[in-house]
Amino acid sequence: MRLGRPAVGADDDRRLVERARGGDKTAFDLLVLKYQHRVVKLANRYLRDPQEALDVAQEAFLRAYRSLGGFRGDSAFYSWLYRITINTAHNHLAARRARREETGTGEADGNSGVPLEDRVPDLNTPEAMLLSDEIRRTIERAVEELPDDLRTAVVLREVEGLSYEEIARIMDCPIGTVRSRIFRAREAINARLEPLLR
Amino acid sequence: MTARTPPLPPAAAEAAEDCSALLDGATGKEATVLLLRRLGREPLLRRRFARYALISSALKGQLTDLSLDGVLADRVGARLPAESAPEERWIGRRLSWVLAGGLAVAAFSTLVVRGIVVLPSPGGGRGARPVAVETARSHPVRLMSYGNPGRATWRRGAPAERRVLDEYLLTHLAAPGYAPVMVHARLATYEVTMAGRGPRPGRP
Repeated sequence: MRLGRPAVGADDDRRLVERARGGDKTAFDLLVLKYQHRVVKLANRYLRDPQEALDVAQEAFLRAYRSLGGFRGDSAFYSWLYRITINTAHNHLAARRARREETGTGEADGNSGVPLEDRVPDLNTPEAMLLSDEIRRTIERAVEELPDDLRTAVVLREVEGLSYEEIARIMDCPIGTVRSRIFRAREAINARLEPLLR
Repeated sequence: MTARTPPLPPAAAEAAEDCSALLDGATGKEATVLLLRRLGREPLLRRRFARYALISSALKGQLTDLSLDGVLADRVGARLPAESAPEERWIGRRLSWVLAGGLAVAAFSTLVVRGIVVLPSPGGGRGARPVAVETARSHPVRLMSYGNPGRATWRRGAPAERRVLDEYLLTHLAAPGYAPVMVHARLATYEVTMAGRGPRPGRP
């Protein structure tokens, strides 16, 4: 199975975005949970520093929240968040360069922009990296061991990015069945993760 | 660190399935509202959503080498109570733009009344040409306008009035967004000529 193709439907986050625009912080919290890995990974691609990438991700989410009123929903929420993250990362890089020129050192302090009390702890320890690798492998194994109908449903959704309607057409079953199969697949994968995350 | 997600009681399984559907944007409007209420007060259910999101990121090859769950979201969440609702903020910002536009129009009107705006003349070009204006109580002032000189009715060159002119230039030259309301203004800059010295450019 080939993993790694990001797939985001333009309409997937419409409900959460609508609620978050109106000030529902739980809705925005779920958007953060949903996209935090992608945003950190994107920021890290620019900054090459996991700690700074976390800071930039935090700032990007806060900027997104503040600007949500102007988000028209013409594009997918993640496309919009993607642009905010890139802009924030660029600003962060520019500030880092300016600091280097100012101090005349080649060292980045890695702490710009985000107050000390708001900085996320350094999680990029060898143990955390090993755990992430283990999580990835466990999830892949769990998917391979799923019954065919559950595996097909979850792969079409997560890897191919198809909607429930499209999956229902392909699998020739009702949308409710697709919904149930994807849920059961996630629960089965989650059960395999439990021992790792205790 | 990613929190544990203990097995849900049967009654909660339905809510967990709703969480799974919410992650995919497959819940209706009303169902979303109800589910968000539950998610806001049931940490176990929120953890379920977080775990599904983690699985989703991993399957998309987007899992970072960091155990983010419960850290980044909590940090962002801790900052949100201080923020106003995005829609309110947006409306407030638009109102302030309208207010700023209104103030710009008011400032422009004031300047026209005080006679310090250079009006365009027919057939004017784009080059800046100086217009010598004698002032009653102070140093001579030269207004630099785009196009032909037109009529320049500068009455006085007192410092207080030069400040008004400075503000005008700062507002209308530094903020292109206001250009549409200033179609008759072609003032580019001005110079104050000190007695016995060369011209001193206006601050902008």
